[in-house]
Amino acid sequence: MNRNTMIAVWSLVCAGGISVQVSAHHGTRASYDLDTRITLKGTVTEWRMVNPHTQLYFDVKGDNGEIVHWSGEMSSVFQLSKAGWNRNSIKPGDEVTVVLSPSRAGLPAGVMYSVTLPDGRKMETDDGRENQ
Amino acid sequence: MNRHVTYLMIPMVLGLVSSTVASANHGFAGTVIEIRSTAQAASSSNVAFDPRDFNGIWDRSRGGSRGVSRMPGDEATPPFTAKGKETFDAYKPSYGPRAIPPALGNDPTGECNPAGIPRALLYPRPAQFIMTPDLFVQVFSWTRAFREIWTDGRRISPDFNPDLRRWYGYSAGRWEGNTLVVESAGFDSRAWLDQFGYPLSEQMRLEERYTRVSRDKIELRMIITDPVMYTRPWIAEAKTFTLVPKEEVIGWYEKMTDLKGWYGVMEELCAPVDEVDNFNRRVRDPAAGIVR
Repeated sequence: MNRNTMIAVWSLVCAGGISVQVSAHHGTRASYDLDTRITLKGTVTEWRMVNPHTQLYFDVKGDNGEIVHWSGEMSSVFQLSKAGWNRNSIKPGDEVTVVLSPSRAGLPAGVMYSVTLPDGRKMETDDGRENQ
Repeated sequence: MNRHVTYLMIPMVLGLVSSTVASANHGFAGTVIEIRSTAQAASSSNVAFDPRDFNGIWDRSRGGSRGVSRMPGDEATPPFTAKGKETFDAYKPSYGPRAIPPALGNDPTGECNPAGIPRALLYPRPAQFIMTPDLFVQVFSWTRAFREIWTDGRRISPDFNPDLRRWYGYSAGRWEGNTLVVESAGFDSRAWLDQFGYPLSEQMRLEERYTRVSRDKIELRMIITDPVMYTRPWIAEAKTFTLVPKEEVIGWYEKMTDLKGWYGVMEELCAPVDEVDNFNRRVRDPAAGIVR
């Protein structure tokens, strides 16, 4: 991804309405700006319920029509399973709202705090950031 | 555990006990190490327990940091040897004051290499302890690793074949009062001591002291002796294992599966097909600004 695209990502984010909160998470601070949280609405392309990191891939459409493909990481299978989630909880095509801390490098990747599903259910984690 | 019935005691009694540990023969002339346990009596339960019975699932997420020391580089951290400093500088962790994104670092666990010992003991996840008369087995949920500690009277010889070194070492334990003292050697130097990139050599010897200070808590004290990497033994911060009640574990599985009465740690395995081929390339690489 080139610099223009990176800028486009952030323009998209800014245009999409950002909720910025201060958090005190740790562990993945080297990769992600954990002091910033953004909210994205997107369409799921893939949900990987695997250890040690679950992964969500989704497309976010900006005001200019450009599609940006995001990748997000979340807690382990164990952590999410204890909360009642499974591999079928999220399906390709689902319209979801994701809250995440974005990559410090500016590319569309983040560590996720919550994924709100089409039926309104919300997959959340605790700080969970001890994952490597 | 009838044979241990004489050891049954209520936690209050433990409050009166402090253990003094004198460790010698660490290869450092004139070094005398004394650890005085700060173990306190449990206040949460008056249920009797066998202090020599560690069977159960224990959670390391409450009580002690994820480093050998409380904080990386704190006053408890020993000075490096020249080799130690060189190795430490070559290790690029993703935690602590030297943290860089994993995609730019070289933490062996980042690509599912073993955590090894003592690192597996430091990770804040459940571990199952299984005790037989001659063997104490630790099964770690995170990375699904296991380690055996012989308790049949044998001792660990420092003269091990380096070709047979192991990420989890060779371990033997013996009781000193109600503290299980475990000595280990034969470690693989490719492991890191902790997630902060502190090195170990094949010469490392590890002493662990496990004390069940209450029904719900096991206190672990460790001394790392590695003259190749450090100029003096490293007395680790005390770590705590907290008992996960059996009914809670069974509840995990009943909630997540249709398994009834299942007991054991989850399989939080790191498989390269998931971690390296997908997670690292598709999430952690872009997180570090790397596009392949």
